[in-house]
Amino acid sequence: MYVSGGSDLARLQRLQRQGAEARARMDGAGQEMSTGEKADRTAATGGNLTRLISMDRALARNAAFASTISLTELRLDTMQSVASGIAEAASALAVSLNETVPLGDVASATRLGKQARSDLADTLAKLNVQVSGQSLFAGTATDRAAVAPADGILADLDALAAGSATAADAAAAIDAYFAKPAGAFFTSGYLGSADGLAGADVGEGVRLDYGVTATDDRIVAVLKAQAKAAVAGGPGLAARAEDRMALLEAAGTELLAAKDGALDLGFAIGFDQQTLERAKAARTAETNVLSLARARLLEADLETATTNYQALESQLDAIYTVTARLTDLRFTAYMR
Amino acid sequence: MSISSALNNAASGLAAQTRLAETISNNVANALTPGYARRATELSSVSLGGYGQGVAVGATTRAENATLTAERRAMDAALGASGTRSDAYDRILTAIGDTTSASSVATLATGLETALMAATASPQSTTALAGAVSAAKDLATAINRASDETGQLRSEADTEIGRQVTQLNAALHRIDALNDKITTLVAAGGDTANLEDQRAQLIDSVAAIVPLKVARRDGGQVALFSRNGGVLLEGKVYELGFTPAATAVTAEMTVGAGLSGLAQDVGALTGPVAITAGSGAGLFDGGTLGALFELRDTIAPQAQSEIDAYAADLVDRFQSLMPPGALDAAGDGLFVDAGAGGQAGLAGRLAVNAAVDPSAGGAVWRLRDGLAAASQGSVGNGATLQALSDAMTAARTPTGFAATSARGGSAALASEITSFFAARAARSDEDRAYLSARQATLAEQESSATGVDTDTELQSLTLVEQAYAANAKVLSVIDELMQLLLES
Repeated sequence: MYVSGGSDLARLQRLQRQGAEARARMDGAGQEMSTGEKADRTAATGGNLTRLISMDRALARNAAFASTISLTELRLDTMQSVASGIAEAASALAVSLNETVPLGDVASATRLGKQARSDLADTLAKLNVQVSGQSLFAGTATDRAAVAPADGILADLDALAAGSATAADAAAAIDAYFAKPAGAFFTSGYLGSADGLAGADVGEGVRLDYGVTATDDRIVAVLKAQAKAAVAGGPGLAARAEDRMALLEAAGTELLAAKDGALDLGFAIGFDQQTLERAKAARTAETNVLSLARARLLEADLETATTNYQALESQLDAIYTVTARLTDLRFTAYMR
Repeated sequence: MSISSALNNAASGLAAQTRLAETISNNVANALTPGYARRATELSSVSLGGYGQGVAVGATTRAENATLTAERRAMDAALGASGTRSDAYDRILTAIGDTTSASSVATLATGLETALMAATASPQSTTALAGAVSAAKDLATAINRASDETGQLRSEADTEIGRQVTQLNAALHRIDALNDKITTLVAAGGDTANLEDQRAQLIDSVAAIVPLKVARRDGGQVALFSRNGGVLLEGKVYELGFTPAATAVTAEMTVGAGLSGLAQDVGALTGPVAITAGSGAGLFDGGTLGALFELRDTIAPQAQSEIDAYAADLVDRFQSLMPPGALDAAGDGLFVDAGAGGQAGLAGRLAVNAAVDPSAGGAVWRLRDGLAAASQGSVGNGATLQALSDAMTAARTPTGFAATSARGGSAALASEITSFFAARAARSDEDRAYLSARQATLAEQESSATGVDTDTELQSLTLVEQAYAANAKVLSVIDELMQLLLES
């Protein structure tokens, strides 16, 4: 075997390179140990970083969807409670009116008229409900109350009743008051915007149009029926018992139908709630799957990283030992 | 045969051993000097009329291994070129932002998407609107920065080409001068080893810039040719010519339009002749010089055109996908071209419409109410914001991209661009690591073959010591003999 001495410089360079390589690999292993993620992302994704970036992006978007969902959830829950509250009150009053009015008991019926006044005020107050400072039934004008205060509306209605000759006239005047789109309720009673809220984005391509304004036909029908009963309990018809009874009777009939509309609104909102619930579950599942896939892609096995690190540590140790020994093993040392 | 000739023999032996010791000590002293080649002093016996007349000291020669040196120099050039490319892709990737960076274009594009979604969900919230505007500004700034970096890369490459050409010309002239000195010394029988060391180091410095073929010529001279056949030094120096750009390099500048190409003075009457460079097949390609031309004229412009195409897509998305009412009076969308010019360099001029930028006298609510809106509209109106969010995510066929041809939203395009350059950076990095290992191995082999091994040198030194002692002993014995003669 031919053996050449090899130069000092070559030996030095070799040891330096081996040491530097081992140290560089140790840096990588150390990083994997401390971060728990693979140091070489390109290798981990097989050179296709798009996968990783699209996962990160989907996770970020899912977080945004989740926040929209929770915001919308609160709004829908509140809307549902408003709708069911309105339907309950309408239903209760409808039952009472239909029981009481046919008996011809003017005093009891008038008392129901008075109750209708507070029911109407209550319905209007419910429509002005706010969720985190946002009006729910005012369309896009979320910074305003949806409807004018009940006092003003009741006064308008009382004036209409007082100015009408017969019960049928009064009923017609109230119908006109709530007639879309020129009725006074729409021009001055409703304070919100004609534009509906933008749909909520609750998933890729899933947009939930859930907005309902105070001008919804189903709500207006309840308001109109309650208004007819309310004027019967008000000052406008105080001296006209027959007209009061006629109006209360009409109100009882209308309210019975309107209550169904309010219930229907509740169902519609319930349907949106269900859609939202499904979207929420889907986003959570997606987030979990994506996080898991991302972790699988990038996660460095801690045990492997530690083993690597230790192996490299002992290798570096060996390189240092060899360097020291080789330096000692010089002919110079033996010449003395 | 006489005692006096014996005395002369011993004296010549002493002189030869002293010279050997000198060579050995020089070798040991330079044991760790890079580029130093081991010296050997040749001895020969002298005989006159059939009788031995002592020892003659011959020339001191350098250890050489032409094959290994040539291979190592070729690898130096390849490694230099690979390093230039790899550094460039690293810088481009850093500017565009890789996956770990929070300020990467892809991350900020996703940031704008989610900020617009958050604003859509709470259109009344000034915080959400300001968040969307600042996300848009962050994205524009990141794109500006990426564009600036490619411009900077091209400017630096241009300056570096000028510096390397100057360095190469200067080295060629010094090699030429050394050639002449060596020829003179060879004729006079002098020691040329030190001059050859110097010349070898100068050739090394040229070989990293342009890969070389070294041809030996009479009188110890060398001629230098590039691997692809260009002449650099053959009796006289054929200088390369290059004029660095007068100003910083901008996106529109190309060779012939603001940028200079490589030229060589080949003694033509017309002056320097244009030489192709940067294509890989040019006469002087293969080293750092060719790689710098490639960087200036291909790699960086490609990155620039990619981010320009991305910026153009961004401007167009928020213009053509938005309802007309949402645009400003000039028909511009959320992103605008702050300067003038075509798509080249657009990324450097991209800005957010001043109408929504509070620091430019705008108001964030215009994001919700339309860029031309004179006053605030319904605070809960999320329709325009939703249209912005849709415009950002709408899948469109990319036009003018090298990185992708797949339909996608803006953030998807950004991630394709990142991935494209990340893959190139990784590939060029691997290439560099491979070449670097090859170069290190060759350099070790070369230095093993031509370098100094102190063990061998010291072993020789012990022999020299013994021979010196023997010669001295011979001298003293002859001295005693002469004394005996004189005393008798």
